[in-house]
Amino acid sequence: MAIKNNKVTVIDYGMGNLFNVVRALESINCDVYVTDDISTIIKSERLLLPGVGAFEDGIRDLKENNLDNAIKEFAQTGKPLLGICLGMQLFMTNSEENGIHNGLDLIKGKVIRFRDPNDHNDKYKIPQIGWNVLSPPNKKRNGLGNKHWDNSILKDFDKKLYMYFLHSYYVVLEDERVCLSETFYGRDLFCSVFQKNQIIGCQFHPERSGEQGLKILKNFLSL
Amino acid sequence: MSLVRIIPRLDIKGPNVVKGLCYDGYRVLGHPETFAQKYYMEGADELFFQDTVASLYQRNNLLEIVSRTAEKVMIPITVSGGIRSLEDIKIVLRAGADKVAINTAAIANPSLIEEAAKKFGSQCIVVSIEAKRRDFNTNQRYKNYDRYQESIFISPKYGKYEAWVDYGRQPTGVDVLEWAKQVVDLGAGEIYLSSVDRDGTGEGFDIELVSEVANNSKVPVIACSGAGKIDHFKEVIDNGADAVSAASIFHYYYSETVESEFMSYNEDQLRMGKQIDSGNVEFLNFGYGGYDEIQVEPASINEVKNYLHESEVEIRN
Repeated sequence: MAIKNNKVTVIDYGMGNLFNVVRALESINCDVYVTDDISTIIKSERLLLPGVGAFEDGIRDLKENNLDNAIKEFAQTGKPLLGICLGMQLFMTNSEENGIHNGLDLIKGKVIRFRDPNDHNDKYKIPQIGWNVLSPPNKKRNGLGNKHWDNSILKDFDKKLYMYFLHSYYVVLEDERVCLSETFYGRDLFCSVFQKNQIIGCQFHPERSGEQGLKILKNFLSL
Repeated sequence: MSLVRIIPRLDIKGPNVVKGLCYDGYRVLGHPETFAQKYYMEGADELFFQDTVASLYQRNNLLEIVSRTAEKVMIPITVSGGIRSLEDIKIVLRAGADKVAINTAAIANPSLIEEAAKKFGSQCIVVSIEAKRRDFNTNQRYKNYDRYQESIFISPKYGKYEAWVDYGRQPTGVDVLEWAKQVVDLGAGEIYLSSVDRDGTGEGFDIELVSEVANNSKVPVIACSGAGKIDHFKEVIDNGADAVSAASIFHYYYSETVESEFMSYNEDQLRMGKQIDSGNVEFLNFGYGGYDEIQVEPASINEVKNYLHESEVEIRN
């Protein structure tokens, strides 16, 4: 599918480093608007919610500026909405990071922490920092496998997908059919990409995941 | 098990990538952007920029380098050297870094780690530790340590490794293993562990050091200093390193040897002068201490990754 237009609005709500998301989008010739203005957000062609840091701070910062309602209103338009890392987690019903905190509830489910290693033989650490693989979800669980990558943000990938992750928490979906890819870390298999209609979440950082990451952002432009 | 990351390290002085020995003496090799771009295309998992002059001056220059690099290089970049405050961190992140690494300022004021982790998130706060094996015959040096111990509350006298600051120039008396534990409690997301003794020597990583720190750390430990041949990567990973950083072994693979004694270098070609260009030149060029030539066997990132893959180390390839 051809790219319809190249406008992306990036929400600036004070959580972490927006600069590299913006830079990556500019490198694929996007018109990037970085804003916290509610009417601009609602009228966007497509919206990106980035973010690193704690869930509690993230949702508080959104609410303080009434951006939570702006995002919900935008979501109703059916235009593409992408959450990256904490942005993805904020779409969920709630998170158990530092107590239970409610999220935007655009996607039903929760955010939980990786389980700690069992013993000294388990050689993984939390947070997960580094590259990991995206795999189509287990067919038995969602009944679809990678068939539904076709018109999604993961379309046109033909080889092993490595992406850069940086997180201690991950999303658990109520409806696993919206899960597009799974990733294994430590003792947990988690959803690394979901897409429900035009609401998309990526747990990894496409803006720091080399050429394949840029391709995901390009796919976002063509949704 | 997570995938082991390979992280080329660029030591930067002024406009150039330099490489020294044991944090002294610099051979000018070429431009950071050129190296960074090459390493990105070759499959580096991240990049580590170390400002060798601690940004006492030429800070803007470093920020420009970071900014130009981040435009073209779509993998995470960590910037280290001279970061002393929350404002410094903000400026460096704004320039395009994904993470910052802090050494000197963290030891002088450990609460900076806590404040930084709170403000920017642990994931972008790396604590860099420059470890040096203690020389128990020169206890005299310990007389200046009081100001550090006041803030750290760690006995300086016993550990095998001591944390150094100011790019390997100043001992602190702080015990590396204790400090490594403390920084995690304060909120560091990763530890970047280098060895002043092994830097640039190609003798292999200080396995005892890496293994003690990595196997007692809840957060990932990036091992640096000493990679001289491909086997060294495997050895340090087997001993607990979560990621491996190296400079000479990659730099010398991608550079060409030129006959020159330039004090600075201003062209795009990556080069490797026969002589070491600045810093403690006598020490390096004329063999004092026995380090008078490059002792690494240069290798490409691909060669390293293929070797690791064949050795059943999980990596991105």
